[in-house]
Amino acid sequence: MAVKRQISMVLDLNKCIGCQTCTTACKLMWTNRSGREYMYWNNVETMPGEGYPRGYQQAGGGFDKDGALKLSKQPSLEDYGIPWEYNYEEALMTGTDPWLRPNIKPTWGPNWDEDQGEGDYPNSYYFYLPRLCNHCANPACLAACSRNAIYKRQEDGIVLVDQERCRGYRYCVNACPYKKVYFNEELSKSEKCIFCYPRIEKGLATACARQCVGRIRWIGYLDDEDGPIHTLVEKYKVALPLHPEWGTQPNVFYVPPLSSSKFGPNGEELDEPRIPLAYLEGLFGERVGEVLETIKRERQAKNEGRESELMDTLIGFKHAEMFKLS
Amino acid sequence: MAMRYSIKYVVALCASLALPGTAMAEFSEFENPNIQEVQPWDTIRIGRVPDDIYLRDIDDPDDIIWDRIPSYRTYLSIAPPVHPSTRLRFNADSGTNLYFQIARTSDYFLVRLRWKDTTKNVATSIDGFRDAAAIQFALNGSTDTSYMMGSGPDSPVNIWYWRSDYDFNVEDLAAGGYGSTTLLPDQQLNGHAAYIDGRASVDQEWHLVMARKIGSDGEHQIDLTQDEIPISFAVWQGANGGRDGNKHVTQGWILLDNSLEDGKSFDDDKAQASTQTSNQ
Ligand code: SF4
Ligand code: SF4
Repeated sequence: MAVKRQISMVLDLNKCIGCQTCTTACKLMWTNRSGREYMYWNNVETMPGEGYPRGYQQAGGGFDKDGALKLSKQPSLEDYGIPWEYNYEEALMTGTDPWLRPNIKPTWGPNWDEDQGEGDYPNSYYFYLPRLCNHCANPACLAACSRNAIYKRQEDGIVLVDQERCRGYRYCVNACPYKKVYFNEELSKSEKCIFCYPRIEKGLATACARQCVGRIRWIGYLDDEDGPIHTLVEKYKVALPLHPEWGTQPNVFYVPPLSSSKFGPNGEELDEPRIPLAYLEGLFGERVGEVLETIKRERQAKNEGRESELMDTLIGFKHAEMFKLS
Repeated sequence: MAMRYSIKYVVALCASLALPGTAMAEFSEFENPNIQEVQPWDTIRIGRVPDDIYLRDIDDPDDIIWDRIPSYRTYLSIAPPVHPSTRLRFNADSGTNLYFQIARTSDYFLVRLRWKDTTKNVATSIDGFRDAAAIQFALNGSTDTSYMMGSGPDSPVNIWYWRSDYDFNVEDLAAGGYGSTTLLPDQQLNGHAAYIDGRASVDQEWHLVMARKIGSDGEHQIDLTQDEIPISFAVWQGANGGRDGNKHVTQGWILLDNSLEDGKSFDDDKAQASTQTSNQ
């Protein structure tokens, strides 16, 4: 879907500390009310893991090889996590309840399997994967909507649900393989990440990126040769889309994580990364190995006191350089 | 509220008037030999509720008056898919019978629908879809209008859409082709439904009445005074993910003969009434 310009985000998974500040920033700004309580337009999940909603990677959706929409399993509220509240007032203020407790018995929630990962000690591993709507170039949500209620803005490629046109059919929820469109029960309409467009229009970064403690996020236009996105995606080609095989052509890209080496039976270091290459290739496609080599090489250069434009970019010295919104 | 009240009212009435055989009529009615099978393009006459009968609630789905109004059966089949999303969910095997009755009082036009549904789905939630039903009218009164959501903005349809998830639950809509369904600015409909939770699953069904004042008008409101009105129906099964084009529909128009007895049209009737008034 051709647009005049495409805004884009790169996230460096080597830097994410899983603090959820981004999640909280997004929630406070957009989703802590009015039927959105269960939604996390931005979430950070532990990988390998179930993800949010639970099992979304196995659910289906997106496009097949011929470009036709694929059906997926519709996530249940339980798969997202039934939101709960605490009795702060009673437990902490009035003292009428001796216990601070949730109002329901939580059985699942976003990040429920935090830090579990895979593998056995000493070769266990995990990393954090922050996710938001990819504002895809070929959005499955848009293709699935029979009312043309979903559109992609010409000026920045942000994908939005027209709340006037939406009649709550939820084809989009089913079609998005990333499960980044959500159904609002209170309003009977679908809603999704809006890439903080009111901030973008004022030249500000999204809340998740601006608040990111690990400084792992860059924002800019794909075609801006002086911007960080171009540097990371086009020039050094170290940022890759999540699950490109789903066919939606995401505009959110990830620098895949390096990992320390595996230990052999006698505690010796093996020439093999803790996070299996095949696993990362399953997420980010076949170029992962090449990308990891580039990063290692550039890191080495920086270590040895040589210049590295790539490393300087990835360090993210100044917000002004990380977010280029003009 | 009105619904609950009315059912009690019917039962009480039936008991007190001791009408043999009618008290449990709802559960055997579908086998009733008096129910006439209607195909698309057939014409049926509209039943007239005499003026001396007082309807407590105009949209009571189980008012005993319905025992006196002719009942029709028509087959609804799965709507042909017109979008990749409906095509993905298309199940050609399924179809369902819809039982309908159409009546008017001097003020109101009433449609009563009944259909089998073993699953009562009254929530529009993350986990489920609601049951729903709709009546569609060709606004220009012509069968040239496509019975599949109208033929563009110049030949639109008026749709009365009942949704099971709201208390005030009938939407007055218009459409001129697929994907163009729009909520009308003036909502003029009354509607109520009752889910009959019979002991056996064959007895479980929805009863629904939708009503509108005959005289009310407005852009995209069906003119209920014209002599012939093309009408069609749709039912959505929440349990099967029914929404949008995932529905069962009449594959064509059914024609309502809306002219009054003795060839008098509704307008004549009104004219006569006003003449009488002015003569007094
Ligand atoms: S990630 Fe999903 S919701 Fe976002 S644009 Fe792509 S298909 Fe649509
Ligand atoms: S705020 Fe940044 S570092 Fe923290 S979880 Fe989010 S993306 Fe990761």
